[in-house]
Amino acid sequence: MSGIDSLYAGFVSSLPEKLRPVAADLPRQLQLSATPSRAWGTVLGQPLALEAPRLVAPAFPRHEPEKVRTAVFAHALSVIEACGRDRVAERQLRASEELAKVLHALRRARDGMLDSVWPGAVELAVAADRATEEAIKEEHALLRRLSAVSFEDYRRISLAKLAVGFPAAVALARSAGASETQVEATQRALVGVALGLKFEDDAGDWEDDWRRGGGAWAVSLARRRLEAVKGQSADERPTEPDLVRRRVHRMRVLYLMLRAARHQYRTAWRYARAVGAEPLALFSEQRLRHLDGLLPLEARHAGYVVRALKLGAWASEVLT
Amino acid sequence: MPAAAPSAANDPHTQLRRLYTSLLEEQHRFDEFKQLLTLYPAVDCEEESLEAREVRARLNARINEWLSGQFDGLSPAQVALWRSIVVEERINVAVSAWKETN
Repeated sequence: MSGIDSLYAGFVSSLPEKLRPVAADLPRQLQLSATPSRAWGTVLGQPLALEAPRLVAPAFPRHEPEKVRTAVFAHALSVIEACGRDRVAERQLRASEELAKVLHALRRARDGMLDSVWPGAVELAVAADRATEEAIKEEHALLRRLSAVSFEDYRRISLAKLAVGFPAAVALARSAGASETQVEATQRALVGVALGLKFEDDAGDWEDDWRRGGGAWAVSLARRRLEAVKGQSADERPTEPDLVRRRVHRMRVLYLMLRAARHQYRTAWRYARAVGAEPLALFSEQRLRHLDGLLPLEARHAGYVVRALKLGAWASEVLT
Repeated sequence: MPAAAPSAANDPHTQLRRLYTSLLEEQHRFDEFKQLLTLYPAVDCEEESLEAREVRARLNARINEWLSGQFDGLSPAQVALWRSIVVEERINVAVSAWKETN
């Protein structure tokens, strides 16, 4: 069991008895893969999603290991809670009184931890909660209506949605005596990585998102680009899967999303290096290299990224 | 006299890699591949039915075209595994069977 999983088990056991089954089942409920798992690392994929403060801690020599551990868990609870809200909004998770209470308990536990890392962090976290909540609503409203969306709006909404991912790392930096410049650089590095991962995920998973019926960023971005090409509003809203896919491919939206992700990783790498957050710089660099290989293939063979993901597990087993 | 080693193009691993690349590079191939796999009956029995054999033959013929005639063909076990990956989207299938059959 990973550190996060054992800490989460502790959180579950601290809850009133009737909430425990809902909380214990949350990892399985939140994941999108077909493979049942209760390990948060499997459910949420990238380590950054759960352990951002640990990746920035080396930048601050005065950090206290116990505070790193607390910040990491506070961060994980924040991400889990936001993920729960997102799934409810997407109607992939049934809203219930028990679930609402579990999500509330997650926020409360997180706030207690953040407060012990750095006084003032709770205020940041509450503001981030609000930003994320608004962004989730805006995202679902736009995508469900199949609205045409610009890349600027896509970035703005994505950044707001990811807001809950930064306060714990900022709190850790502040507690370790980081200067304003260091805090700013840390946050920019984290923003870069978080946006990069989101853009990559949204490009690779767009067909799954679309199939679930809540719309997909790639489709809305393609619609906007089609309008730009035609010079008029694209009223037609295709729902037939092949037609939608052809449009997404023709508008080169997946390539542009991956290119935007690369730009974000590059920014993250620069700031992570500047502040001395080596693990974050290394992670950004790895994603950069990965996209350097993928971008030309996506440019030549539209949809490559989606197909590569679909066949990825097979390829890594059989072809390596 | 020892058996001759397969040429690079005939090596089963190379053939699979070329099929993989071919599917990645063309959406229409991926779609057709998936469509034919969908037609392949997902029944777990020892003997391949006539219908299944026909579908597999069509699939192998198409792959052969995509790879310019340099493909030995997928076995029933391989088609069933591809089906579980591409159609049923099961990512943790027992891929070790691939290695054994190649």
